[in-house]
Amino acid sequence: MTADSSSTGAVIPKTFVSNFCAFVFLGASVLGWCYRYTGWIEIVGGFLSLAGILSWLAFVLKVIPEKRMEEFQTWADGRIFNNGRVKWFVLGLLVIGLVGASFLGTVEVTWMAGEGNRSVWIHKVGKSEGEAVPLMPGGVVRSLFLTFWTEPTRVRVKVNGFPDRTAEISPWQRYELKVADSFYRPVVVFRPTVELLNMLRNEPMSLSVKVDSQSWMISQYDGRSLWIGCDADVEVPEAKREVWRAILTAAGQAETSHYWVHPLTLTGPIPDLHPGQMIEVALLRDDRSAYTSRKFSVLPAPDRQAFPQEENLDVPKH
Amino acid sequence: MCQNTRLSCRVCSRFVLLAVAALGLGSLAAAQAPLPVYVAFEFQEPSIATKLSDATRESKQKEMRGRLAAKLLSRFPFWSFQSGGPTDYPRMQVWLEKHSQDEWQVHLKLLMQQNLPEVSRWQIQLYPPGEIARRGFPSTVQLLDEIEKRFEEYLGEQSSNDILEKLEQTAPLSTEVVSLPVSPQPPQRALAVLPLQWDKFCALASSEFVISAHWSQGRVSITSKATGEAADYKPDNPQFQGLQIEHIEWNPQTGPPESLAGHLQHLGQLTQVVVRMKRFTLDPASCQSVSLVH
Repeated sequence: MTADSSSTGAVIPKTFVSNFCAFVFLGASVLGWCYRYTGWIEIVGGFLSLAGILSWLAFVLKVIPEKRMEEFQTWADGRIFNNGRVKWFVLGLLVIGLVGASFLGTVEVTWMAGEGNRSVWIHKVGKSEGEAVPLMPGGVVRSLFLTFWTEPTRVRVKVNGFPDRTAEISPWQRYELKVADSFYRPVVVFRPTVELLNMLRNEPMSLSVKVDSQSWMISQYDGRSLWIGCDADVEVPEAKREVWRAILTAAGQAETSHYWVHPLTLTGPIPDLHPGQMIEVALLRDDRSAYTSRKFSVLPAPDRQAFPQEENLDVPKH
Repeated sequence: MCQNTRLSCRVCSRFVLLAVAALGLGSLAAAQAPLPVYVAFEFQEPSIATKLSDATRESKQKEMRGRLAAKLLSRFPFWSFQSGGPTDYPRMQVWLEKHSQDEWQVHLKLLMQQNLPEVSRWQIQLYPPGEIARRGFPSTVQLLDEIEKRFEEYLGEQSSNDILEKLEQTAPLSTEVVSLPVSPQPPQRALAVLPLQWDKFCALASSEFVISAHWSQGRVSITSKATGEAADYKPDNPQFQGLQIEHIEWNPQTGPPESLAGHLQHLGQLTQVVVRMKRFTLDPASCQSVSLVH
């Protein structure tokens, strides 16, 4: 038999070599894919480590007599590694894996350094947020999505405290996002001046916000700050909050800082702002005519210094 | 006599004046209404004025005009304070002003005629610096209440006597005076009656008046003093009890003051009469008689 020749001679059969290489390549490919695209490598690696399945395997192998082991090895050598058809089976598995992986892409969120922990939601646009995944400083969160070359999947990534981010995932793509730099995008934080805040605190008015053709109305607007372009969960950068507190303290009303440091947001669909877009805010009287209004354009947000774009509205001065 | 104690007279006078006004309001007798002083109110400060729609702003300003007029009337019941517009004279113009450090003031000015400078101007602190920061700007409804309250407080303070003085000097009390027949026997007193209903104006029964008028030789100013008595208005066709006065001094436009005795016959020829108060002297005793009557 060919099996005997393989175990005694110095010449290793080609079939054995090719099958062995195919097995190694299959395993390495699966592990490599898991390493690159999923967060499973620790689990898989742990499973395969001495502390995992190998320890159990070692225990079982100790129970089996050496003679039986040798018989098993001889069987495996002959039936698997020296079997010319196994090569095609492994290649088939590789092809299936390649085809399967060609419909998968992943999103990776990394938080290099920071304090505390954050929650991450990664879900297809239009689907429910689902459960949050915790993200610790130095940690990584990955999420696989079914996607197509012809129609990349749109995925919403939300890290609490930052604006959400939409990513288009193509097959084989690992869409990398870093907290917080990847999440700075054009967002406007709007607030009234101190004078206007005082005018509105006891007698709210209606606030109209228009972004292109979309419009929102906040009735009983009492002078709070407002996010335009992101949800209310986003945190105002500490430096900006300090500036605001200083403004209010100088005006003798430090206790009103809560009007600004926790901005409201627009209800309904949140506008996805792009540089150059025009936004118009207007405070409306009881007859819906404008008491005071302002137009401004959305600016780029290249870095954290430019985030968020702050816009104010004052009382009429004439 | 009372001039030395004039200030204290003024301070205590407001209580009597309120009582007199109340009596006056209760009276149903047909009489000439006191001459009007119009009250105009505008928010004026842009941050407030433009906060309201045109219709609401006009409605609130109108409401405030009425409320301020009522307060002025209860403090100075000798004039008929009523809502007025920018073309009405004499006019007490009231408006809001915002100053540095977010201090808010109510301003008043008294205007007698178009194209004439204002008679005087007063300011009342509505919100001191820091108050708006502490509590926020009040709602419009609350703002009107607080303007009215602060205005009323100001009118109750001594400083409001300056308003009374300016009104006395400039705002007419009447445009009519009817001479009473001169007694044939001496002393011949030049008595007259003003169309000011006694039960409303009894507090003026010891006050002095100045009557400006035209006569055949130009303008004249007559100093008169209330006699402390009522008289029929008019003597030949009594309609109500008016305030009786006695002319004291004849002051032609040019030349020194003259005795009235030489001008008794001219009193009936006066035209374009304007009666103003020269010196208010409280006379509570006269009003007690009114109370007894009522």
